[in-house]
Amino acid sequence: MNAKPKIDRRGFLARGLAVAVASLLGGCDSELSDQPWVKRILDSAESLTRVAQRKLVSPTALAREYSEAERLDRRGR
Amino acid sequence: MTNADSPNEKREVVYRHSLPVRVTHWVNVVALLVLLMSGFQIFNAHPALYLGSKSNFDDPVMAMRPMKHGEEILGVTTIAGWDIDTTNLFGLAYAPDGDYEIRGFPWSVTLPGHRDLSTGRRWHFFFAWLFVMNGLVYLIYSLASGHLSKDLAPSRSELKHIGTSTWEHLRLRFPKGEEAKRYNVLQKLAYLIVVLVLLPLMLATGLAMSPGMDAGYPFLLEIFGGRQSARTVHFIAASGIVVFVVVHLVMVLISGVWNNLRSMITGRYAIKLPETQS
Repeated sequence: MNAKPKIDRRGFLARGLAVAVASLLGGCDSELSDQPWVKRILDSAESLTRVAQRKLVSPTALAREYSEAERLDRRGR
Repeated sequence: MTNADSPNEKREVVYRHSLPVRVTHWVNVVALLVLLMSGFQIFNAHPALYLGSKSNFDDPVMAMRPMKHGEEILGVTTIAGWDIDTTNLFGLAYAPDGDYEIRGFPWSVTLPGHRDLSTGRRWHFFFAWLFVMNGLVYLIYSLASGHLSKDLAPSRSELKHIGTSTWEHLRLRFPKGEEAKRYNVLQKLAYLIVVLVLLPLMLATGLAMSPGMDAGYPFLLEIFGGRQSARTVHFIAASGIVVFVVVHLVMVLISGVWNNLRSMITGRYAIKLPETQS
């Protein structure tokens, strides 16, 4: 192989990288988060989280309690 | 670099990265980038960090906030009692319309760009699952195939000569020939720290911030000394990963960027052979 296909491959990689970066930045800019299909995909993990937590944590497990001395007042002092 | 492109130089192409390593590497790139950006969004909901189990607003270990300085309002980042002027960037950040807004990290690095904690959390949790599953695949593969013990665990003699390796590395002299087929000792240690310490620590501190998980597994709170400490360690470990990525990218760029990129895509890596007399 001589040098020619190599340059093509580099050009291809560089262009691919540029497109990926541009679409990523552009996607964030045009509120990717508001697209219905994105919401659907992100939501799928919510149910996974819920099911996993139901499986991992006993329904009778209670949150840890803190004594008066360990607490802060409402203003965080 | 002097004779990098000289036609007489001998090169050997080796198969460097196996398919599971390449795939999990790129999945991790995407997952960690989204986790970082949505993490900034979540952090922005309350841009301060504390130690222990309570948020003592008067005494944060780190905070990004606006402060009055005479007539002006500055964005100030406080780290362990030190106030640093970070106007434009943190505390009082530049806004998309060219104005300023009171927030921790600026809109350009958060996901989503505008302030939206619940959407930030959705992104974070989805990609946290992707990160965990990807990490499991990587760990199981690495243990089963011997990648961890063969390629990443440094040998005794490598550790003994770590000083020399560091010196060579600092002068940007990269190994050639036989030695270039393996990771050098600094690479091995850096990768091991990321893979076995920082990334698992992200997961553990992330779980320790979940009220549900804390109820089921109270030791999560004991390990880190409270949910606020867990949040601080989460932030510090994330910073460690960012530092690693920056160094990693610099090294990739200066040690032959196309060769490195190709090796992480196709697996094939070209090695310069030491010059012979011929």
